[in-house]
Amino acid sequence: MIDINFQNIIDTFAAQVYNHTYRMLGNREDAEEATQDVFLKISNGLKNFRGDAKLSTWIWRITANVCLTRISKKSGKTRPFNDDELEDLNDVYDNQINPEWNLIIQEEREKLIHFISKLSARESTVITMFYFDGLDYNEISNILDLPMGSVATALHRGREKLRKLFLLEEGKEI
Amino acid sequence: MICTEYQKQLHNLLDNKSDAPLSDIMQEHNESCRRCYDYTTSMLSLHRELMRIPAVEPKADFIEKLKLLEITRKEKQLIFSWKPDVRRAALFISLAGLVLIAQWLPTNFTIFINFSILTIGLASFISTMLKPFFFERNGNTAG
Repeated sequence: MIDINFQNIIDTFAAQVYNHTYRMLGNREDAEEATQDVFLKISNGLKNFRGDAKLSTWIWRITANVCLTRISKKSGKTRPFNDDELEDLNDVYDNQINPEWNLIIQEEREKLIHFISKLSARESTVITMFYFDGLDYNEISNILDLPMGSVATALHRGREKLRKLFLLEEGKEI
Repeated sequence: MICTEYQKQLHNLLDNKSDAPLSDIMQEHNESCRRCYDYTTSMLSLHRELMRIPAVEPKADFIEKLKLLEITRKEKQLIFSWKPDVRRAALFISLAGLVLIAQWLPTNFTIFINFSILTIGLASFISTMLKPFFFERNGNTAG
């Protein structure tokens, strides 16, 4: 068994794990509960951790699974934007003359964060890991056990949906 | 260059998180296709905003609570275990007791079994009563 100090793991990863769970779940309460679940699983699993994978990969994997489990339990309530609904946006917005794209103000940023939690589980996980956790394709692929092509597809589709969600939101304000 | 190919290459460029300009062929398409021009503007804006979003910090006391949770959870796991030496001694004494009983009793298998069970039962009862003196908590050696 590898000698790993659990308190050091908390010091090193707690903030990152919390940031990830917050981005995935969308609110502090769920993020705190999910983070506690993650570290409980880490604590229980440390004695069996053999070092086959990097410690960080193992921790991110647990984090992703905890978030995905919570999301799947709430799937009817927090994932209203499925592929079919967003496909309809193609007809509405692709043929319009687009307004000026100004996404820099704080309200827009908060909307963006909210929209990420509305993506599919895989897309929001990949988007969150890529943009907020600072992980690259290879790391995400190892963590989620997905081919790199699938990671790229999820990332591209996630961006596309975010763009369309923003268009929808802007459209409502006009 | 067709629009779908252009958009695919744009995504690939964003995936590298680089600020490299569009290639000549992409630039040419961007200038000639209004739809892709708008697409590029919005996608670059989205990408930059995603890159700029700051990390969310947990509340000041959350990490300390996390550490305390772990300490509390372990303290609650009051699993007593035998000290290794006592465990060995108890095993040998039990086996010796069984052998002695077998020698002194009539060669009646049923009686032998009954006495064996009685001996083991008595030994378990006595060890439970004496547990605090001979057993340790996991991670701590008592005395």
